[in-house]
Amino acid sequence: MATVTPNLDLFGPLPRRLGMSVVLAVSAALVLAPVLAVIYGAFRTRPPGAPRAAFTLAKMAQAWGGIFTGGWTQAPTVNTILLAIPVTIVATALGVALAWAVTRTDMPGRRTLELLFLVPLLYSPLVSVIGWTVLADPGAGLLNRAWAGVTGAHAPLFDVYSYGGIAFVMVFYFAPYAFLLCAGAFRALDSTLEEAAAMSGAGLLRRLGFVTFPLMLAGIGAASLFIFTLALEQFAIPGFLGAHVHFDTLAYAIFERTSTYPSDLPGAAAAGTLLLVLSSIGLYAYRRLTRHAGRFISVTARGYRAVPTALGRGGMVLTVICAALFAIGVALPLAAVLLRALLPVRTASVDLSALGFGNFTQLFAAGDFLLGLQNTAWLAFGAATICAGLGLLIGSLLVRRRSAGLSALDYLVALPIGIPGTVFGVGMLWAYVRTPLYLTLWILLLAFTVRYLVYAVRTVGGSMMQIDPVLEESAAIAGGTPLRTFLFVDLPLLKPAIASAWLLVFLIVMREISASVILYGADSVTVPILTWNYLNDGSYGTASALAIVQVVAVGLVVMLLRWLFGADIRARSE
Amino acid sequence: MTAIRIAGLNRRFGPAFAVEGLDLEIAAGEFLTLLGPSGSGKTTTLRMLAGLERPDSGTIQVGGRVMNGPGVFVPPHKRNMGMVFQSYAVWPHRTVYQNVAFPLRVQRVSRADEKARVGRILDLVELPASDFADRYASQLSGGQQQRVSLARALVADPDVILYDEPLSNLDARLRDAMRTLLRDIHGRIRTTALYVTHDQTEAMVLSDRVCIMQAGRIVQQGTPRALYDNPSNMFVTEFIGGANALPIVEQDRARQQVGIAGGVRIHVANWNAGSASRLVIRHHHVQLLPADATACNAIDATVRDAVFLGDRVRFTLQADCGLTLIADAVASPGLPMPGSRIRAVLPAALCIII
Repeated sequence: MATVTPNLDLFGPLPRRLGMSVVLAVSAALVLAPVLAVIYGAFRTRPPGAPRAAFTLAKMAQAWGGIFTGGWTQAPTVNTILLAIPVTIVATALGVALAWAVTRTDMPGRRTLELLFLVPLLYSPLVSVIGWTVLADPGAGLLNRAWAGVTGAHAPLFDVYSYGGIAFVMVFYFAPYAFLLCAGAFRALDSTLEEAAAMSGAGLLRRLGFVTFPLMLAGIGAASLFIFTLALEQFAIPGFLGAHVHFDTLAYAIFERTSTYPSDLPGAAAAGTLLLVLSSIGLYAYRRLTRHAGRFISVTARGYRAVPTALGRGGMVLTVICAALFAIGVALPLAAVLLRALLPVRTASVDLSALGFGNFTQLFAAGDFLLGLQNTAWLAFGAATICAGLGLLIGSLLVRRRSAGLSALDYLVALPIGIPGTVFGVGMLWAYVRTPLYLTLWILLLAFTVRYLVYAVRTVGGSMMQIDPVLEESAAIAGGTPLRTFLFVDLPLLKPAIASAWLLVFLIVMREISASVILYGADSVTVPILTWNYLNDGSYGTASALAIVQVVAVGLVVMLLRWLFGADIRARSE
Repeated sequence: MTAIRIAGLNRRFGPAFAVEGLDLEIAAGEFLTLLGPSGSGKTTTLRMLAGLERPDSGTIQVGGRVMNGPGVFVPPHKRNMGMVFQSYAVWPHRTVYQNVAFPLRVQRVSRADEKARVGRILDLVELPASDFADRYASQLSGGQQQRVSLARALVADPDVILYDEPLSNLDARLRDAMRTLLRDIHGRIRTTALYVTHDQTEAMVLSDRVCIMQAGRIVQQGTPRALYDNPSNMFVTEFIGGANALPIVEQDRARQQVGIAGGVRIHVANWNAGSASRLVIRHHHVQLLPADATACNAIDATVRDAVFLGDRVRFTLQADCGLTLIADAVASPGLPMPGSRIRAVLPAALCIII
């Protein structure tokens, strides 16, 4: 051991170079296979393995040309964009305002509210769908019933099966993501910059306009582009709510092409390239913006106390507004799901004496419930563990060693972020349909690992960046081998980050539906898929009971990890 | 005329007092420094005067106007003060001109007037507008950023200017230059200033008056000279200059003599303190004489160590009575070597009783 520079040379030079080549080749194959398969498939006449399949431009022409000539992709493309843009703007605005209130002011109850705003990250979009269906179905929705009862009006107060209804549900589902991303950026802002404006004679609004928001612009822009890609690929919310009124988005239209008879897998792939391009535009802009973010955000290395802006009596008003938003966006739909889970039938008025656990007994008796629960647990634990392990390896290597191979790996790992779930599903299907993986749990495990590894790498890498290399150097000087140094110095310091990475992947897999809906088979159903199927069968009670089971299970795991390892989804460094 | 009057100021963080029962008056045009170690409450006091921190109790008046008091709190942006931050707090997304002009914009000064005043103040801090006005903070060095911060604090003619350890992020050479610049500027503009630092040199170079703070209280105040010559306790002695402190074992007030270890008696010219526990003498006031010289207030000792420090030599002396003394002498030929016997003289006029 000759060197004491930042050092994670665990394997020695030759095996390392050889190992790196193998790792790169395997990762490239795993990541690129679904992407290339989608593009390849878009130019085929028939699905993989079908006889007489040939190359054609027809599917691509239909999908891309159809946008302008009234083809089948026109309405979904227009709907996708019309939905994504306003949802992005409103959800981001909401997230920014809440993040400001929680991180930069002395609003009473801000710590509690911060945790409450993150609750939607724990549940699947199907929970929002069920909740708002129960509340705002134009005919039987509880809110609309109550409204009709009070005013005698026939028109519903709020119809969730509409463009506005879908946008509303999506805004409240995505606002917590914007909140999470912006809260991190707001925290990094040196409060003396605001204080300097106050000392210059500027009031609160002037300070916000001149200092705070201009400095946050890059962070806010990045958050909005991230939300934009999420909104583009969102499958469950517009899929279920829009199906009632034939309001299709691209993500749903792709799914429909693969699942309805006669299925059109090449058509789905061609439409997939459309969605892929849309989401790449958002991702490209996000990359450009975050690359220069350092210029705008100023973080002083010296310890400073973040001093909240004193709001005085206005603070209480803000608390009430925040609490109301939480009540409307989170508590109300969750309560509706719980209520529906306890009601035997969909009733116009709530008969409290009818409350019971019938839906749960029915759910537990259903043959595929245990299977789905087992599968989901297995997938979530498996993908989270693999991603956390690989994330630890890749993330720590990336920070400490710069090499062409590692940079390539970094790029490869990040590539799937831009691929919408349904498109990824179609690609996986095409790439693996002729392997024994097809229709098994393994293909789902592979899909989730490839798709979400990047989050684990980023989380661990972000934490590794904060470990001063001097700590490793001093262990090396003291005679520690690189491996020993890593285990003794870095690993304990990285423990919360590893736990957070694990939790993050676990949460995403627990609620994943857009790729699994294309890849699942009879033996590989998951909880979100079961919920989706119950919903589409009209079994709202069972779907609600299942959603409650999932929320409770996820909540328990989150609390356990927080208690055991200090895992925190806020630790995510993006 | 009193510009600032602070009375009974208290501020707790959790159970601990950051500032406890602080009273302070600052005259118009005075440059006052709060000097103390970290955690002594000096920055908290300054931030309460700025309005950035709220006191738990106490009153603050500036120019006769109540800023903090029962039921009264004037927010920072209505106090007409300027402030220079330790972190500079120059807005990184604005140019030098936009940074400095901001306080004038807020006051709706006409554009022509604004341009003239910004130009004048940038000249004052030696950042000529022709070179610097359009640069962004990220293109400036730390010292230049601190000048922008200073210009921004001064441009709107504040009633008071506050400095929160403005030089501690700069390297030693820049700190010297900025200290001199600050002294020049305040010699010209004579704005009332409150300055917070833990650096005694800064305090001595800049201040009309220095308040030494410890654990949330002012322990002594006076001109830099008075604090150096007559520290009232060991904390102040150590914080300004450092000194030998010899425990007093017997005292004879009538003959102005104190006894230290080994029965050695020392004559003291000025005996002000009520109780006498320590005899304090600055390192450079200890005189070194040959072992056979006759003198008053002399202690026989052996030179244990001599360290050359450029302008002076620092001696560690092992006195026969068991005490250890430190003495500084101007570097010159013929100074005693380690191991040699000498007599250390403590001149009566320079001994301080604490």
